[in-house]
Amino acid sequence: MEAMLEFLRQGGYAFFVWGAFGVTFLLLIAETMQLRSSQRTILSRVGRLVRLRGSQDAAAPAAPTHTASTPKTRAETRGESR
Amino acid sequence: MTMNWFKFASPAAFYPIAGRLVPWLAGAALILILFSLYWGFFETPERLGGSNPQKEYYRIIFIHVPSAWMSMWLYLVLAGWAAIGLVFNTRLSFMMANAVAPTGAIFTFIALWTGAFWGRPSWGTYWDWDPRLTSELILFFLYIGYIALHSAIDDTRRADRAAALLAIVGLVMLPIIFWSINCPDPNQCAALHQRSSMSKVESNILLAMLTMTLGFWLYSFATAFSRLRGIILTREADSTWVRDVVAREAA
Repeated sequence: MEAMLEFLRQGGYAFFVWGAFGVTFLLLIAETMQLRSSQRTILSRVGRLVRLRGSQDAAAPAAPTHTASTPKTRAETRGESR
Repeated sequence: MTMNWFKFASPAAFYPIAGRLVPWLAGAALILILFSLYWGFFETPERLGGSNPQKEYYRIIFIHVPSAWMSMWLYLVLAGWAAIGLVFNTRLSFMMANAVAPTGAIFTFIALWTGAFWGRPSWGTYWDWDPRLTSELILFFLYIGYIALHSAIDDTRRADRAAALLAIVGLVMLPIIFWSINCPDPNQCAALHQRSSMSKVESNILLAMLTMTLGFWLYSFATAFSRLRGIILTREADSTWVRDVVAREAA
């Protein structure tokens, strides 16, 4: 217990040491979690797009395939614009 | 011998490869970072330096130096992929550059942040317009500028090219950052920041620092590849292979 408190105090520089290390690993963990959730979002969004196009193809085989008209945010549109 | 170097430059070929690599890279990164943290906090001396030693706060070196290295290295990678994309017009290169940028920006921010927390106890100030600090701050703005410029242009191909050009022009900052503390005559660049002198560092401190660097390096690969997969899916949403991938991964 005593040794642990001593460790946490870092010779009186706890604020600087843990302030630096804390923010560093907070950022790295936040980045990983953001990547995980965005991967899920992208998969479901692209999946929806693919299904939509599939049903359109089935309904009207001659129709152009890239008429997906789901409401999209600007950020979502960016990747597919041509 | 003929070998098709562009085989893996196809997003369809690289998507599954990246997917298989990410967990291994992330796992190895975690192990190295945890090892470095253990070694840095428990197997190193409490003081750094000779006559006027730095006290416990010197331990910030274990994240400050590796993240500063990564910030420069990742910028080189970003500009390199941007240049390859411009020259060969390969789609995947631009996507790589895009995937690296946020991680690079984060490491640059970490380098600045940990530098401030190290500067306060050792120099008495969080910030100073010292050459090294200023040039690193400009590097951060370059990352932000690259990301912002890319997201400001709706046409992806145009965005790729414009942002790539910005990244290549920004390369000029790397030698400035390097020589801002390593200039031949120390009096010419009156820097608050110490010169890098890796050979004089105690071996346990060096070990913790190098393993953290390797850990950050693998972490960057993992995050860049993971982000790249998302970018590939989004941009290739029209192609048939994406349809198969989505069907498989949704199941």
